[in-house]
Amino acid sequence: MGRLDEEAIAQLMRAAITGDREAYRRFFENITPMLDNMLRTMSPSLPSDLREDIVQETLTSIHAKRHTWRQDKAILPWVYAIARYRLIDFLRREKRSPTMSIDLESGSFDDWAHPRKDTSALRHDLEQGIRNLNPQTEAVVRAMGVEGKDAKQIGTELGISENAARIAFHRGLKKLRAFLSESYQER
Amino acid sequence: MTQSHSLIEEYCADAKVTSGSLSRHYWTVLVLAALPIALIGLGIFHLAGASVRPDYFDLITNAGVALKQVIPLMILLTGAPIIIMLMRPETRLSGNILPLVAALSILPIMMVWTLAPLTGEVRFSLIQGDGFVQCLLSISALSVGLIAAQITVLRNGAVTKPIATGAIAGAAAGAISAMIYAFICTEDSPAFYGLWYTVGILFAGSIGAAAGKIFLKW
Repeated sequence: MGRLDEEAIAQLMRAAITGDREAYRRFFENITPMLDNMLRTMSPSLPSDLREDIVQETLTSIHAKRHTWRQDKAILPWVYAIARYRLIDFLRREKRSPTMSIDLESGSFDDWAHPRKDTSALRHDLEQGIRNLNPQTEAVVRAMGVEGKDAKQIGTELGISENAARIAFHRGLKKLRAFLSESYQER
Repeated sequence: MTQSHSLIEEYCADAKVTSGSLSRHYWTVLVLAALPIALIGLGIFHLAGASVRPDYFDLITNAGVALKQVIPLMILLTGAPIIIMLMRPETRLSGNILPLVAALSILPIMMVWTLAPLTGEVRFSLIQGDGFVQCLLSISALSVGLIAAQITVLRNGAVTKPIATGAIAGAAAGAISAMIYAFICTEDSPAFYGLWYTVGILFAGSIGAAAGKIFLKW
């Protein structure tokens, strides 16, 4: 699919707001690479995995705050303002408590999602990995990934927002993947 | 981008926006908060011995008295649109803030205008009035609930300038509080209210700025 111009992207969002899921998907597909480029320009030294984190947080914020876009205004300044806010917020958090950068490129989701060999070893590693997460992420990953609850329900249970639960879940999965690919490489 | 895709899938299932206009929401909450705060505040003042001025409706035909409420109303009406705009992430302050700055500067100008031709002694007694502490404390106390009400609305927006937005919301709260306080305030010299109402409104602004810094993150 070719790149759409700004008005076409705005059209997609207008349709999405009235409930058109396909338009919303195309909207996201179009802005995701734009966000990636924008963040790359704004913060060239940012590792690609952290940049992907911010892209995801931005997508989450765009979804949560889509009612703040005025339909008669240009959409990209709105999108970029959210991305900029997420980037600054991320850098501020990172300054306060630097987290280790996780190497996203190593291993793939399939490596641990579809184990080929010993499932009991995987179960053990998975449990270890989950315990390795911080308590809130652990709770979210268990509730969402193991018990199959939805983000809204977990948010209410843990006293966090639905979006915070979603982000925690995706973060948790990423950390799990890094943990598992590491432990498999050791063998 | 596997994870982005799964996020996107989730969001697509929930594409439709059901919430209404930000502006209507803001004004509704503000009015619904201001009315009970005004009634309860005036009730407490009454119990404390400071009732609504009995000849209030005669007095407000006097410009000097009417301006005690008209100018805070102007501050509110110039501040609120900026607050509503700041709920959108791309809003810049720049020129938008000029009408508010102009409205905020009227009271100090009136004060200076009143004091300029007077001598030191008289100036001092006019500024001091019968006591400004009650004025400042009342405006600040009335502001707190109004700031909280606005913060709840603003959290629903996407504020990217939390301190500035909080400060303007605080000033708007201070302006409403000054309007409420003016019902019982017997100081009718611009030398008094020009200074102390402004200080009260700016102090409420600083409470709002602190609240914004804490509560307007998302």
